[in-house]
Amino acid sequence: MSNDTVKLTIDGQATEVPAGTSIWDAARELGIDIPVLCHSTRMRPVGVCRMCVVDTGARNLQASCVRPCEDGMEVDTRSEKVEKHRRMLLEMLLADYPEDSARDAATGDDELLNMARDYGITEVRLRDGASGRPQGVDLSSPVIAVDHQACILCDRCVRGCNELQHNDVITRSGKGYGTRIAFDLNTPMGESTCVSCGECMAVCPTGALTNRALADLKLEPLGSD
Amino acid sequence: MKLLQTMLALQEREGWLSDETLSQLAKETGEPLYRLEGLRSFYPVFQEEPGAKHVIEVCRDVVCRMHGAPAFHEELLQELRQDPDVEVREVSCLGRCEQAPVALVDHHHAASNATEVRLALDGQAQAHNVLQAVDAATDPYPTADAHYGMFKTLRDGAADAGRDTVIDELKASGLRGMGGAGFPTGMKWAFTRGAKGGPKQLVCNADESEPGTFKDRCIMETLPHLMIEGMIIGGWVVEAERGIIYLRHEYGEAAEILRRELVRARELGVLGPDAFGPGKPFDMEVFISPGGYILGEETALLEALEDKRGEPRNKPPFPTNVGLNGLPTLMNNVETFAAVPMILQNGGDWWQSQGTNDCPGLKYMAVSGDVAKPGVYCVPMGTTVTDLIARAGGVADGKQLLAFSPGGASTRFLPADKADTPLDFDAMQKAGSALGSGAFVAVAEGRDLLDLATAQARFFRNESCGKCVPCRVGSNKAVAMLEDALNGEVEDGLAELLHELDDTLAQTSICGLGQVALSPVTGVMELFPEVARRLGTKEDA
Amino acid sequence: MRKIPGSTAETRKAVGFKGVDSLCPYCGVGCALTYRVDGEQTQILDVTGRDGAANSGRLCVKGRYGYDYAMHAQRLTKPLIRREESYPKTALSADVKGERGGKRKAGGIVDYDDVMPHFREATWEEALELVGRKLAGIRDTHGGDALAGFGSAKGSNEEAYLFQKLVRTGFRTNNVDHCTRLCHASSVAALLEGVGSGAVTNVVRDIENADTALLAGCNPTDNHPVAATFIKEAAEKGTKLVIVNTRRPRLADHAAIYLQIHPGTDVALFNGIMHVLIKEDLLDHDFIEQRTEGFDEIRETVEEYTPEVVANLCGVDKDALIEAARLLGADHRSMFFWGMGISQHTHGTDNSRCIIAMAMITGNVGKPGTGLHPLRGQNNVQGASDAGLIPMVYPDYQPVDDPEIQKKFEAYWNTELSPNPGLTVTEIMSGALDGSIKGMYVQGENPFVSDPDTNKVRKGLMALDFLVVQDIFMTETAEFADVILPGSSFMEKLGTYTNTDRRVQIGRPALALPGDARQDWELICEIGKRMGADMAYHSVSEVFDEFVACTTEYQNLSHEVLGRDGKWYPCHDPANSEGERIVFSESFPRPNGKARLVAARQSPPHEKTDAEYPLVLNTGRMLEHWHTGSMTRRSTALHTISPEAFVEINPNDAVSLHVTDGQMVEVRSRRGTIQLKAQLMDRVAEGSVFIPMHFREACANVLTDPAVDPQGKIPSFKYSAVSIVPLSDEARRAGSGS
Repeated sequence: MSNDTVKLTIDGQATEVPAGTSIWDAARELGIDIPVLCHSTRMRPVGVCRMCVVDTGARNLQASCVRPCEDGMEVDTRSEKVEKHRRMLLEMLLADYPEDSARDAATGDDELLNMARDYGITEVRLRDGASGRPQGVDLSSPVIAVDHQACILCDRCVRGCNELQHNDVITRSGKGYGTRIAFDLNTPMGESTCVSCGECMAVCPTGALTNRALADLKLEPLGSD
Repeated sequence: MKLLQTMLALQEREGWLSDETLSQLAKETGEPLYRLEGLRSFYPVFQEEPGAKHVIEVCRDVVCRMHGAPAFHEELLQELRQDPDVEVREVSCLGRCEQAPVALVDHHHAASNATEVRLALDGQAQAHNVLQAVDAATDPYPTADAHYGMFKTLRDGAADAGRDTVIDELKASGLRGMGGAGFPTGMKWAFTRGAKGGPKQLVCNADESEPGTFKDRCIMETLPHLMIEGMIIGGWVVEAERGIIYLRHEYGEAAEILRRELVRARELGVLGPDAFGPGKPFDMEVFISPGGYILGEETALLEALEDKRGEPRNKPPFPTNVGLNGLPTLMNNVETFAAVPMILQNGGDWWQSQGTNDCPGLKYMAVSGDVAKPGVYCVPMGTTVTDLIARAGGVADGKQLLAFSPGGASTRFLPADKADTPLDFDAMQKAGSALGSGAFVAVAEGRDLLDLATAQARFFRNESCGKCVPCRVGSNKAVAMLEDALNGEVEDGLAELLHELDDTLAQTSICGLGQVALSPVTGVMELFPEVARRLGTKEDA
Repeated sequence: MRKIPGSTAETRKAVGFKGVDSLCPYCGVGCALTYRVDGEQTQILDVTGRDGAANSGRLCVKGRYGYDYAMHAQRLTKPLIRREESYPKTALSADVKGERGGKRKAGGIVDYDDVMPHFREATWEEALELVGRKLAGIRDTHGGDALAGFGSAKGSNEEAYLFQKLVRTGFRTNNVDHCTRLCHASSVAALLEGVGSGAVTNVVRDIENADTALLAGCNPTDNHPVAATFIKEAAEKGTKLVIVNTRRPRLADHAAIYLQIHPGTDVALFNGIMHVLIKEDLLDHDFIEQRTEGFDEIRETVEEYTPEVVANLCGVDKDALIEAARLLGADHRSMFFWGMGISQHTHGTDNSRCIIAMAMITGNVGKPGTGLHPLRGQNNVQGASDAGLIPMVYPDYQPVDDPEIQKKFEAYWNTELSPNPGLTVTEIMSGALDGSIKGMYVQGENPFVSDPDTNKVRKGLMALDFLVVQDIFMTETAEFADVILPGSSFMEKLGTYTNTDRRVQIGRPALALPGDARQDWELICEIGKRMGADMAYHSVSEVFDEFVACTTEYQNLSHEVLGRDGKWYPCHDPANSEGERIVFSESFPRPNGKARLVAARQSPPHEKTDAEYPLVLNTGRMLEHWHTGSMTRRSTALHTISPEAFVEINPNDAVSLHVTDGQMVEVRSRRGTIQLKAQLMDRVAEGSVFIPMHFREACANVLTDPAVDPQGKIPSFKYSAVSIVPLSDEARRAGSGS
């Protein structure tokens, strides 16, 4: 084996990958899709949603999108332990998620709700933090609707704005449970230096940043022609 | 560092950071606005609105809570309600638990009652009282003239072998990190020294902020030269060119003392352009943290030093290899650095002989809560809890001990019948808790442990950076349910849910804060049956 | 307990959708995207970025939200013929007449209520017959050179090829041009002269391999937004940006050096940089020796341009100038980008010559991280030029005045061809005015708004005997038309487009044609047929094949080969290669294989400021709008974000002009006046003002100087002398009555 690769097994499948490859990427090469909300192949991984945690036998679970593979690692991506924690993480996010997601309603690609459906979650035991939308809504941009309540702070928009488009507008603002995304010095999107490139809206996995043009529509795919 | 320092200076000068101030700063520095907003909104020192002329910050955390902080806060609110020049607000632990309850007036003057607060507001604050540790480790230097002798000896006999000798000596001594994690110091130094890339970076983590912890303050104020010498030796061993002391902002007096000591060290030639030999510079500076317990997490601290939001990094890589600005970084706690010259002067054997076979050395314990004489006690590792309490004058008011938290907010309360446990890393773990950072809190009979454990969880919720989902959301949901439970509203399945939440936080959070946030709560549920009953744990569970 | 949300679609209208992989219709970056459309293809629902070579899924505000113009209710859907009672021809709407304060509809687009009554609907047969008969009549009476055609850089390569073929074989003249004349004609002139090719030598994204990038006279964050993201990315990873611009671009925030030179002093600056390069020996001597000619002339010319002299002349810091030269020197890999701040001057060709020389003497062409890149404006300005929408050259820049080439094309097209180079855009408009041009075919261009000196253009258009306009909307130019043919928008057509990187990509129809509108390529052929030209084709790809077969650069390409993702030209092995990102690594396509260095001296601007007109007017584009606004001002999102015209004034100038932010002002030049809002911005230098070109109701080109560069024939849009007076509310009311 060369120094530049590492050998490991993922869900029992042996593989050899270049050193530094994340477990998530290595698994993907093997056809194993590890669920994730914050990561996108177009972006630097940040490991904040924790949905992609896997069991490497370490003291605690590891976020596979940021955890480099190591020689001899035995990774379990879907043990009952792992899935149990994923379900709890989903419950946490859903507890604060609004009743209506504009993305789910318009294009059906709300990744959080679709993942919740995949996991068969129908009820959330944690306290409702969404009613009355305490995090607020921002309709100041003519093209993008901002529903802070549907924001799961995955940082995709932050990276899309600052690291893909380099428009340097979006940040996390605040700290802890009160954290929100913000534009410039926490000004409404439509009054900020936002140039409306729409990258944030395109990469957002939830109903937080959506296309206002689709506000009254429900898109359903036609069969391929 | 530079950007946050500029913002700190602006905050200091103007009392708040207005949009106009930050827009101007953005123009001058070329920093995008979003970045300044991210910082302004993250660090508690920065105010987004013009504040009152005077600010009174009342500690709300566990030790002060035990000593009537809620009533103290209420009293100040009532008394000062009419005064538009005064703002009273609650803050996290101020690191002055031996004076609990405590409030800081205008960020500088500690006060423990309304009279002291009033005096401080009137400009008649009491002089700062330097806390002396009881049974402090003997300063190896008989006189001030001899300070930094160990380092000079190393430097002047210098050879690369000398550097490795230091590491060997530290390994032989068995010194472990005193910040809470207990990682073997010699090994950490060896990793950093061997790491690829450079120049190596050196940081002293002087950001102790866990409720009940104030022992580093005591060391910095009484033995600053030992800590600084430890850092210099560390810098010399890993071949760094500069060191940074990352200090919590509430420790104004320590900052003064350290800065004075740095000036002295420069005069003595152990810092400065030729500190490591002719033309081989080494210097250090004090960086005042813009606030927040999370910055004590080593990678969050590094993020702050890089002028970012202090959110912990995913690990690996570890700072020994990828630290400040991507460079290998040696970071130790105040107490750890201070131990280094002692060990080198007296030998690793001496350190070994101070403690038990399993856990050598001396430990500074910050003792507070229900003891007669709260303070910092330097004890050999392996001293029993009973003995420690006895040194601190016994349980206050002659009461019986109910429980104790041996090492800080993250360490579980143990029942009184575990008081024969020796203070050492492994023994505490075996007993079901941890030595942590040595923030010992004694709890006398009559206390509500669920209330205290909830206070600990509340502290973690308040101090969560919010980066990852489990800690940000889980700590909030748990505290909300616990507060209801304290009010007698216990939801069905609460106990089970709390255990599940604790498990998920422990398993999936990025950093130690989230991993331990609910541990004190599940701890009291497991070890104190009456707490478990109150939370509706099924009897057969 | 809380139930998780389900889908809540009760108030929403369900629409079945399918995806159409296509391109963005706007700028030269050439972003790949997917339109989601309803089953009947009557509506674009939204746009998503595709993983294209130029954009990697990224889009800008225009690409993502600016598509709805194609579905606008004002689309032309029937052929229109001017009513008899509407002769003699004049402009029809108040703004186009040049009257102030006529009733103005929101958005400032052509007022259909004013204009449409002057036209009647016609059948296709009637309209096309009339066009063919009138144009052929002028040709047969006055000769082919009395006709001219403006093609479009927004159309496909196939349309451009057909259009020039129609003009050359049907009109029997070389009077065919398009808006490249208004954007990069001088750059192309300098490149053809110096390098032998008008296209870029390297792609934008190769900036990631560059140590340094010069960005002169361009504003990519506004005009090439997605390219700008890659430029900023490179800057973040260490590429040093040297930015030269009289108006501070946002990119300057990411620059190592920003040089805010005095307007029109580009040649001096570049000569100054070359002076330092030579003096400090930051040259690639082997490259100069083996791959260039004319270096001695450069050396002699730049001798007098010392840093002291240049710093003073250009108004920049001497040390910054020297540092810029050092960053661009031969020990670094440097790329050279430029835009219309370089080309739109009476010395635009000289500006480009200097940039070419800087790249050559530092050996910065033909290798990764190096190269020449004039940033192309329109989505297909590269392709339209390649296809021969230029009066001096056939497709692939083959000169019309070369008898061998003429013979080749006479054989290829089976007809006689004119040996005389044709007239350019500005010359054609002068010809209309002096009566030598009598008939015109304008396809997808809007010279009334885009060409300099609007008052002159108005007279020219009014003087034409016959004007046919083919467009998707009633444009300002179409107000002067005899016949208006409703064509196809980008969203409705199939065709290839060549971006600024030389990447040839296929745009596919997302929408069905509205009403009776027809495909532009078919209409060109229909007119050709009626004028006796051989223009029968079965498909767009057949047209592409005919175009390819008469070029060198496009060899091996076909619609099939281009597929979903396209190729860079040249592409020698389409089965295994994406085509060439970097060209000229061995030699240049000139007779001796060497690049020709042409020295230039700083020359004064054509128009001078004086006490009456003390300010220098700079015109250009803005992020949300496009060209003459006919598309973007009909896009709801773009119009909402950016609804009105403005003039940017330096705050210090505003004080002496007694102008406040947001106040209405009148801007005057020696040719006309406009009224618009003042915006105080310190990004424009003192003594300069900036007005975007998109707003017909405050049309910047009323003010611009029609003087042109002698080689490129490009107008001097970046330098006109103007004055500004604030308007009180009272004065404005009074003004509106005049």
